[in-house]
Amino acid sequence: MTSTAEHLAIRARSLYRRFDDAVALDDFSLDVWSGGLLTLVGPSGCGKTTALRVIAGFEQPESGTVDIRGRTVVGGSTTVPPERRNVGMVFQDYALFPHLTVAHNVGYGLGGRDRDARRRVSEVLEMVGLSGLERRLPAELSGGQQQRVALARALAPNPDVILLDEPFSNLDASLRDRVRTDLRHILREARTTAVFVTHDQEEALSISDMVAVMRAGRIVQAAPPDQVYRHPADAWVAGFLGDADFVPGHAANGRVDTPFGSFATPLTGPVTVMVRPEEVQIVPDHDGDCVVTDRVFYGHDQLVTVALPGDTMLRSRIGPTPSIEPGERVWVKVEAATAYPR
Amino acid sequence: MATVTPLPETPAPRRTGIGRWWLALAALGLLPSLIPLASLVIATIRDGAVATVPGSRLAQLMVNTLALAVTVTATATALGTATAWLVTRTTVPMRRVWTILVALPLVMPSYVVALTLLGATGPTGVLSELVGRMGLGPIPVPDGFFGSWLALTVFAVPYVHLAAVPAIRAIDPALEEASRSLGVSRWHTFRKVTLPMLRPATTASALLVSLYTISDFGVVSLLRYDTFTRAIYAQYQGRLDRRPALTLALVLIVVAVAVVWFERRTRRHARYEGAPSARPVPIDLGRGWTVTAVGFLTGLTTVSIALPSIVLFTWLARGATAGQSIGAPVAETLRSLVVSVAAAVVAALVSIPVAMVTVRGRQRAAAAAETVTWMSYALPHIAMGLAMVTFALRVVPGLYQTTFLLVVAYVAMFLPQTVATSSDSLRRIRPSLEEASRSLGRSAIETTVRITLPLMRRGLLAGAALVFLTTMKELPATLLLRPNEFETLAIRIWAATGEGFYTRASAAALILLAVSAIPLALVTIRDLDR
Repeated sequence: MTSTAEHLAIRARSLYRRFDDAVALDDFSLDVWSGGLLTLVGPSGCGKTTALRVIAGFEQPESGTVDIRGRTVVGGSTTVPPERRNVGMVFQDYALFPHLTVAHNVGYGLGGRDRDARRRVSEVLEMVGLSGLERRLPAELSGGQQQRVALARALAPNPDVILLDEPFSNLDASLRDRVRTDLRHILREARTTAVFVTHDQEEALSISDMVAVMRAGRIVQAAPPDQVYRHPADAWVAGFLGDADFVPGHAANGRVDTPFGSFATPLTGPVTVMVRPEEVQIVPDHDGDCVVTDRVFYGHDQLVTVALPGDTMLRSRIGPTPSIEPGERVWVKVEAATAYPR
Repeated sequence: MATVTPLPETPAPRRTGIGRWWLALAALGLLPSLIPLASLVIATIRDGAVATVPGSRLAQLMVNTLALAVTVTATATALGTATAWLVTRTTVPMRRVWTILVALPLVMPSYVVALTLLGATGPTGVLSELVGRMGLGPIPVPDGFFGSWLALTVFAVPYVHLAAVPAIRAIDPALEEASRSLGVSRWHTFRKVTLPMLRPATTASALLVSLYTISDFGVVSLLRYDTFTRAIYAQYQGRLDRRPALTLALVLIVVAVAVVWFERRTRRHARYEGAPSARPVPIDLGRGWTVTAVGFLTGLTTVSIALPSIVLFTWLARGATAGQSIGAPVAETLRSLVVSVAAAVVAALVSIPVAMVTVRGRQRAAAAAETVTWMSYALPHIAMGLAMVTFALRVVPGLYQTTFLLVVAYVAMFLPQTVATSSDSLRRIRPSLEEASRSLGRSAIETTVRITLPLMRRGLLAGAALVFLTTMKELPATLLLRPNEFETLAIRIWAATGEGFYTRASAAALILLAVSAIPLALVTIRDLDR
C-alpha cells in the first residue's frame, strides 16, 4: 500500500473538538483506504460519534483537517457544508423522512425525479432486497427494513464514503447477526468505502477489514481485526477487545516469569502480562495445584475461573465438556501470554 | 478483569445557532405583542394616571376580582378533576360519552353562559316559566357575585377536565397497585399516591382557571359584578378621561402576569413523567356509587349543555312565533369568519420563525422569544385592546379603528397558541432528519422547505384551528378596537343580551356555536383518540 492521497478515501489529521464539559476529539488522526470497511470502536463517550459527525460536516473541529478523496473539506479557512461533501450517512435512528414514501426517501438525494433517478432508485432498492416496497411509508416497515431503506438512501447518490453510526443498536439481538452479514455483502457489492461506528467489540471484529480502536478522543490502534485482537497495542486495547486477564510480573533477560510459566518478551523491568482465556488449558486431576472457583456454562463453550497457587486468578475458555464443578482440582497450562510495560 | 459495558450514546438536544433571518422574522412577528404593552406603560407613567384612581376603589376591585377567582378556581378544579377521574378510572357507564359531553361546553364563550342564565331566569325566563306552571314565583336573576361564579365555573370545568384526563392516564397503575399490595387501603392510596401525582397538572389548570376568571369580561359585564375588566370598560366608555382605565389595566396585567409566572414555575418544578406500563383495572363503583356518579355527571351536563340548548332554542322559537324579526346575523357571521380566518393564517405563519427561535435558537434568543410569548398569553384581552388603542392614537392614528389593527391585535394575543403547537411539532422532529437531508446534498433552505415545514404541518393546522376558534369568540378587544359599525357575532350576542333582546342574542349564539364547534371538535377528538 502506498500512502498517496488518491488511495485514501478519508484522511483526518490532528482534529481537536472540545465540548462544554469534555474533550471529544484530542489529536484525532485516521486514514481510511478506498473500498474498505473500517470500524471505529471505543467505549461510550470516547468521541467516535463526534469523529463521524466532523467527517460528515455536522460538527466543526477547532483545528485539524479532513480530506475526502484528496479534497480538503475542513481545515485552514475551508469548511465545505455537509451537502457538498458527497458523504453518505446512515443514522442510528435511520432518520427516514416519515412523510415520504420509500421511493421518495431513496430518491431524495438524486436531485430530480427523471428517468435516471427512478432507475437508480429501483437499482439500489433491489440491491438491498426491498423491491416492491416503493410506495410504503417508513412507519409501515419493520426495523430491519427501515435500516435497509436508510442504507439504500445513503448509497443512491454514489457517495465517496458512507458513514454508519451504530446502525444495529436499534435492532433486536435476534435480527442483528443476519442484518450485519447482509450489510457487509451490500457494501462489498456497491464497492463503497464505509466507516462504521460501534461500541460493540464483537461487531467491530466480525464485520470490518480494519478496526480503529479509539480512546479519550484519539486512535490508539488501527489494524486488521485479527491483528488487533492478537497483538493489541497496549493492555487497555487488549482488555477492551475481547476477554483478558492481567497479572503483574517482572521481565529480565528476554523472559518474564509468572505463576503459570515463563514467556518470551523484549521488555525488561516491571510488566503486566495479558492472558486470553482461550489460551488457558485446564486438566482435571485430584493432584492438581489449582482450584476451580467459578464456572459459567454458555452451551457452545464454558468459562472457568481458576485460582492458581499464590492467589492468581485466571479464566479459561474451553469446550462444553468435561463438566467441571467449582471446588475441583485442576492443572493449568497457558499457551501464550503477552507482556506490556507497567 | 476488563470487560466494558457500554452505555448507549444518546445525543444531547443540540441548540445549533440558526440563521439570522429566522431571528429577524421572529422579532418582527413578536413586535405586535411588545409595542402596545410598552406604550401602555409609558402612557400610564407619563400622564400621571396612577393618581387618578382612588386607593379604596382599587382595593374594592381587587377584593372582588380575587374573590371570584378563588371561588371559581376551587369549584371548577374539584368538579373537573372528579369528572376526569370518573371517566378514566371507574366503571361508570358510558365513559366515552361522558368524556365528550363534559368537554363539550368548551365551545361556549363565557358570555353565552351568562346569556343562558339571564334567559332562564327573571319574569320572562325559560326556567321561571317552567316553575311558574307549578305555581312558584319567578326565579330571581342571579346577577352579581353568585351568577358570575356559577357562569364561570360552568365555563371552566371543561378546561380542568381536559387537562386532568391525560394526567390521570399517565399515572402508572403499578404505583397504585404497589401501594395496595403494601397493605394500604384504596382511599388512602388515592390520597397518598394518586392525588400527589396529579398535583402538577391540577395546579397548572387551577392557575389557568384563575387567569381566565380575572381576565373575563363577558360574564361580569352582563351579570354586573364589579371587577377590573368591567371597571376598565366603564372608564373607557366614559371617554372624558381615559387615564383611570390605563391604570386599572396595568394593575390587572400585573396580577395576570403574576398568575402565569407562578403557573410556569410550578410546571417546571414538579413533573412526574411516567409511561404507564399497563392499562389500569377500572375501579368498580358498585351500585350505590354508580347511581351517585351518574347523577353527578347528569346534573353537571344538564347545567352546562341541556340548559343552554333549551334556553337558546326556546328564545329563538318565542321570537319566531311572536313574528319578531330574528335578525339573522348574516353580515356579522361573514365578518367574524373573515377576521378569524385572517388571524388564524397570520398567527400560524408568524409562529414558524418564533418556534424556530424558541426550539433551535441560542439560549438567550430562545428565552427572550419564550418570555414575550407567555407574557402576551397572560395579557387580559381588555388590556390588550386598550393598549392597542393607546398605541394607535398616539403613534399611528391612521390605524385606529381599522380591521387591520384588529387582526394585528388578534395575532398578538393568540400567537402563543400557534407557537405552542408549532414548537411542539418542531421539537418532535429529530435533528438527524435534517442532517440526513443535508448529507444527501440539500442546502439548509431546501431542507427547511422539504423536510422541516412538511413535518410541522400538523402543529400549524392545529394551532390555526385554535386561533380561529378563539378569535370567533373574542369579545373585549374587539369591542375596543373594531371599526365603527363593525359588528361581529360576539358583539351582537353581548350587545343584544345587555339590552334584553334574547331572541336576537340566541340566534347569533347558535350560529357562533355551530361555526366554532367544528374546528374544536376536530382538535378535541384528535386529542382524545391519542
